[in-house]
Amino acid sequence: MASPVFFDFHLHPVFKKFICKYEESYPSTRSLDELTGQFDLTSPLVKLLDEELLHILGSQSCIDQLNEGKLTVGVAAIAPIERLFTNKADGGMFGKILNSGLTKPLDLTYMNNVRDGNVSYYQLFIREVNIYKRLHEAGKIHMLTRQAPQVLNSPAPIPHLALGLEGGHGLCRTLIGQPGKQDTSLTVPPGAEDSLSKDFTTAFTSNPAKSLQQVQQALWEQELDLCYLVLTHLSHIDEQLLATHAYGMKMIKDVSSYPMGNGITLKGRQVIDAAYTLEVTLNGTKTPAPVLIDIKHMSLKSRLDLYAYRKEKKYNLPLIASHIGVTGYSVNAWKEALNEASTMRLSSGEPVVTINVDRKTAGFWGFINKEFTYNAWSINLMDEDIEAVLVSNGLIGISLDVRILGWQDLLSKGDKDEFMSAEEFRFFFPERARQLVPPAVESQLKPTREERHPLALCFNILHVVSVGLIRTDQKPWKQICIGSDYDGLINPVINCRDVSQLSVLEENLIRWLPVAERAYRKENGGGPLLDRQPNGEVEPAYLKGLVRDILYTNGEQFMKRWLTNFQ
Amino acid sequence: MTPSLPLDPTTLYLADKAATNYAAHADEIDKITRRITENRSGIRSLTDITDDKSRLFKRAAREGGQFEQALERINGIPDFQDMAILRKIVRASTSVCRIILQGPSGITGYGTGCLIAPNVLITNNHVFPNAGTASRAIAQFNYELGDNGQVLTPVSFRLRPDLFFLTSPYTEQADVPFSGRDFTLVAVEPTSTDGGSLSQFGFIRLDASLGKIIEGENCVVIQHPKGDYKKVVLKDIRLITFTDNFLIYEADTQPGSSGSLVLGLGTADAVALHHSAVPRKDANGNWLRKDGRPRQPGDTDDAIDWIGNEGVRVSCIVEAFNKLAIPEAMQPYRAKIVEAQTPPLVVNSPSIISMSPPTLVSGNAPRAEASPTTSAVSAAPLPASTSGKLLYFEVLLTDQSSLQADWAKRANELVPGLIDQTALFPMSQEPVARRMVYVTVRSSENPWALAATIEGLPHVEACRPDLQSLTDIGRNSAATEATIRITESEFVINNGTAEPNEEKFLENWGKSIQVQAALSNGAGRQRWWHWSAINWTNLNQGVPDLTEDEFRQLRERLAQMRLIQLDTGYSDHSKVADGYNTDLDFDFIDDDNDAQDERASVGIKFPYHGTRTASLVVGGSLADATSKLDGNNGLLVEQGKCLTRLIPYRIAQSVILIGRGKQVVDGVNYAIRSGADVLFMCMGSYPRPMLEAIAREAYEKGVIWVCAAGNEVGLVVAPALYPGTIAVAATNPEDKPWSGSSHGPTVDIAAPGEDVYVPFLDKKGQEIMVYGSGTSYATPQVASAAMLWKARHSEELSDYLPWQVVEAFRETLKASARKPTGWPQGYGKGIIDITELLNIKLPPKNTLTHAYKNQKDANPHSVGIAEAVHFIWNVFSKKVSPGATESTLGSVPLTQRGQQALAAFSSSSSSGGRESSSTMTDSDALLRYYFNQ
Repeated sequence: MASPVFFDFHLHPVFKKFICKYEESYPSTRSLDELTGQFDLTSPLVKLLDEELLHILGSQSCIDQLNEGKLTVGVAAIAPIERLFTNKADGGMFGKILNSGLTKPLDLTYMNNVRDGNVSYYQLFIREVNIYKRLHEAGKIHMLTRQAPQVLNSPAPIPHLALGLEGGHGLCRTLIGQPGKQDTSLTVPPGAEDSLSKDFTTAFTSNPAKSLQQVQQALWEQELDLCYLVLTHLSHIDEQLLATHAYGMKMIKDVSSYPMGNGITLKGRQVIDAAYTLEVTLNGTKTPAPVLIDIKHMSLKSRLDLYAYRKEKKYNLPLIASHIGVTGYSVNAWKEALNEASTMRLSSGEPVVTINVDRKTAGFWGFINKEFTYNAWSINLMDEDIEAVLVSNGLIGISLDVRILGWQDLLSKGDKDEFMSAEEFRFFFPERARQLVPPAVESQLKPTREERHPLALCFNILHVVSVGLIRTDQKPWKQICIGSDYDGLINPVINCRDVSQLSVLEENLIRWLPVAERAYRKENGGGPLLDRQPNGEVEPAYLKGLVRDILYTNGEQFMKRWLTNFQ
Repeated sequence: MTPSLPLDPTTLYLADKAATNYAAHADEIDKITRRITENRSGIRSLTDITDDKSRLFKRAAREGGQFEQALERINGIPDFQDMAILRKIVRASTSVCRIILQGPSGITGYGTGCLIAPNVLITNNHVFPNAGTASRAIAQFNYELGDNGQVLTPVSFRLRPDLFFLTSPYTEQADVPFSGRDFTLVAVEPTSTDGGSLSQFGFIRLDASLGKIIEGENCVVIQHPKGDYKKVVLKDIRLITFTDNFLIYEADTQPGSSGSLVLGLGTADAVALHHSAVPRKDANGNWLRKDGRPRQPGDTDDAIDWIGNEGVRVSCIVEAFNKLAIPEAMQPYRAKIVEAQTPPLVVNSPSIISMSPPTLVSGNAPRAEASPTTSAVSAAPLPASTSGKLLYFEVLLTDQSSLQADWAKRANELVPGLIDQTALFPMSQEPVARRMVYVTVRSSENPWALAATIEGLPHVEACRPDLQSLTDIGRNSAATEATIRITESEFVINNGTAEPNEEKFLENWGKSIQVQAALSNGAGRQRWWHWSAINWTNLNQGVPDLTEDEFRQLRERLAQMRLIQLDTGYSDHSKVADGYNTDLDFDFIDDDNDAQDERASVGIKFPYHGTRTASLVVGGSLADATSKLDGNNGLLVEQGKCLTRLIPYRIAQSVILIGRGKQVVDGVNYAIRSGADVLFMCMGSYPRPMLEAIAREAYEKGVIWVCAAGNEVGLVVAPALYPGTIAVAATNPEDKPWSGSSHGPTVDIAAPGEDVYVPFLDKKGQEIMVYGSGTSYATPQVASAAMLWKARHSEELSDYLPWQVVEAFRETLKASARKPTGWPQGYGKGIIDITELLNIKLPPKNTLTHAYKNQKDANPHSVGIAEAVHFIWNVFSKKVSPGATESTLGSVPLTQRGQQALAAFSSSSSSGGRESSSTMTDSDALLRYYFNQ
């Protein structure tokens, strides 16, 4: 049997190498070998950071690791570094490094340019795109484009990657934090211009919808293609607010990490319109080149707004959720589970609400009856989200970040708190909002040692399946894949610290899915999620087939459909 | 060696009650005790013991500095204690005395007491249950051993329950308020039996606020156990939990003495009055002895297995003290106690004056509202540990990066008493805004003097106090009618109500151009006269070239857009009740999500300022359909439906806002970050760096901020005077400027503001409408127009940079303005013409100039000048409205710097005495210099 191949819906193969070295000019001239290898954790850094942070910073999905792990199809996501990661003062992970005086492995020029607003997020985006383009041209990877939709029918033994943009801030062409100033800092040597640099230097727009349209046009001219867009990322982008984001940054306490606003904005709607109706013109011919919207990182209210807007505008393209966990709750059950809520005023005066929601039990395991729970933070999907994605024939990528999957922290109650936009809190909890207790101290949200058993991953998968079987007529097993978020600053599951370990993950899923299914149903009820034989066992070939689907086939099929615009 | 005592019935009762309270909190106690054990073994930090984040935050605030650093200090090094704390404890211990209870036949018992004011001591009620017991007792200070073990000479004082005696019985009694708190306060003779002075023993302030101690921290108990020499228990005694009225802490091996003072070791602040030990009990409720067997009759306290101690919380004592009734004769004493807890401090307060005096019609001056300028801070008890009040400063750091870094590292060393310092504009990339920090200091210094000290640091370019104060309403509420003379108008009554004044209006303006124009549309239309002046009827007529579909989109867009009102909050006046979006409001004064104008009731001066300004945008119909006074709807109301609902942010306590500038900045900042389209603000003040910075921030983020130019002060006020905002002056029905309107080159546009028809209450509290004047009433019309304009061009404007949106509005506004003949300078381009505004083309992006393009960073004025301006500004307000401020102005302490600055302006411009009319001229020169006008 040929060794199995894998799919990953969301990972960042060059991100860590990209931020290692700032290049003055565009395009990149760095050596290809340098770009495909692992992120170098220097020894001073190892001394500086604790084990947890080292796992986060360690290389998880460089090109060499993709090859080693036989990841043949996936989506390379680009998340331009946001300003909150460059805040020296917040005492978080990056603050520690930035204040350490270490010049490696991160290139501080990047960090300084972002913090001081000398560059635009858009420029960071196209610079990282350029790295992929060079790797593609060198035959190290293959970048997927709808201009060559057949390529997955007989793929070469290299990673085939589509492009995703993680965060609408990547569309913003003004200097970071200075929406009145066009970014004119990109220097391109004569003769080295390409469609992206030309568009950037000659066709400035401050309209994110137009920026999206233009970048897709420029990408197609280079035989690249943007597959999906995550509207928000981990911070509130004042200068170009598309939608309220979901709180998700425990390690950083910059004011922009706190959600603000109330769902999708006018600009956000314009970007969605542009994404779903996008056409590019090649050789004088208009071709549909829509961009999928990924619901990850959007606040719950933003997600609900999105579903309503799609309905209103009759948009039918699949919704995707590229690297998520689940709360285990429907919206109403989640509201019922609200425990504590209090208003907190940021130092700059804005109110946000800190909320604490009881976690839903996924199931118990073993003699000690170890309890597994879902992460109840609203960055994770509610049942309505799962339903919306499944019904749209979309794909759900389950994250391999233990925190997202429901890591348990027994030591401190404070760790359960998340933050929510004060306005959105009132949307969901109008009654509670009237009795909000006065500002309380910010909780310290530090990751701690926790259970990283593969059961946590199984429970997330099973909940998606369960919701799919109950709420839809879809075949949910066919709409689930892995969206690891490797190299997206995640704390990976212990059995699969990087992409080269995917085959270990496969073994674990085969081993634990049947166990988890019993535990899940015992706790949550519902019909069978796995077909079982009369003797109660799950037939091995069937089980292996399901796991194969999750780890490869479902994703591969989805990408094939994308390549043909879901025709 | 102190003798063991048999257990008397009071002790039995109290200990039993304490045991019940203990049992009721068993889970919590169990949890905390476990965590304390973990802390002792080093696996949990002290600050991780409590689950009460609010308390932890307040505890940390007492440490000062950044939160993280404060936690570190609280956690400290195990078994190490700062000497400073010990010194404080020693100081506190001198105020603790032994109480000798005497009966007819001699000594009957002992207790412990403590001075909490220069001549008042506190002990338990079960020590002094009544005045009689107290009058026979002796308070003995200095009953302790000296350095060499010798007995010091005790100093004894008689007690004077006849002068002051206040008690809360140790038993809870349904008919006795605040009973069960087991404390007694009693006056002490100021001179001892042998002529010594009581004042040498000082006193301990009781601080009712939270944060003096957190669960798991150590307690220190100062006491005379069983009448023995004064002792302090320094063993590792941890606070376990807070219950409603009590603290529970770990047991000493000996039960403490009644009336002992419990201090938090971390802060050396008094946290409780010890009153009982807690015995261990078995399942049947029997007390257990240390040998595990049930208590036997005749057992002494030594035999009992005490598992905890209970003390009455200081906050509960203070609450009862504040609320318990006492005889009139004792009131002066009570006042002295309050005074002792709260060092009086007079602070100046920045004032923001409204631009809409709720008056009227007649040409009588003066018409503007004014604000009081100072207020004595009292009421809130101050922490005993530190003297002084929280003061706030806006600080502009130097642009030198080493000094900035040094400040970041050492601000708490550089500024004594620093509690906190945070970036004012953490999201801004504007170089000046990035250097602005907001500093909180605890100090009893004059804030201007302290500002000068801070400004003297090499790290600091400028420092201004952002003065906190009570509201004028708070100060005057007891005597509203007597102290407030707001206006000489015949229509507005001193208590803030009004009377209908249409007759007078028609008498004055019936023949005017705009009233005539309005009347040509029908009888009664005089109430809508400003609609004619601004050329507006409704959307369909205003933008006639739109298709049905485009109209629908325009309305949808308007419904989605955000119009924020920065004012006194909303009210339930039926004229506007349906026009507010009360899902998105916020109260930046009271820090909650309800921006209701809580002062909006009859009897309070100028209620409903926000209601009146809002009515011009979203005003509907009065609920009383029979009212003949209704009229004049909001500009964004069509056929009874609001096109946009107004989001109120309450940034002013009353129209005479006396609040901190930071609250305005917070409101604007939140509006910007939540995606506001248009803001309007009908209040202003003298220029201040942080208002300037937030005005620029709004501009850079593309928020159209429409501001009233100002009333009666002549000068255009902040924020209207900043380049980024849209400044609005007021006109009258003759299309002439209103005489009270501020004017100057920074004014962009004018709109009707004199005698505009707005909602009010009459003296019976009935909803009415009257004609009132102010740039406050001009401003909402321009804000409404901004909404219509932005909605109309929303697609096109998506391609403009954020600041270009504001500038395009300003340009279009000016280009479309109607300029009556003989239009004077300083009132903008003319009167707003909304129909024209919506129908002319947008200016191309490349023709627009950034409002700050040629703006140089001005050198900040010195702190002395700022102080003088602050002073003059308030004198000026006083002149405008004498009643509101005259009682307090005299107490404003000008620092020497302020006096010098003032003197400089006096001598330069006047030859006569400053006391006379020339004061005005001087003020004017100083203000014009400061306002740069």
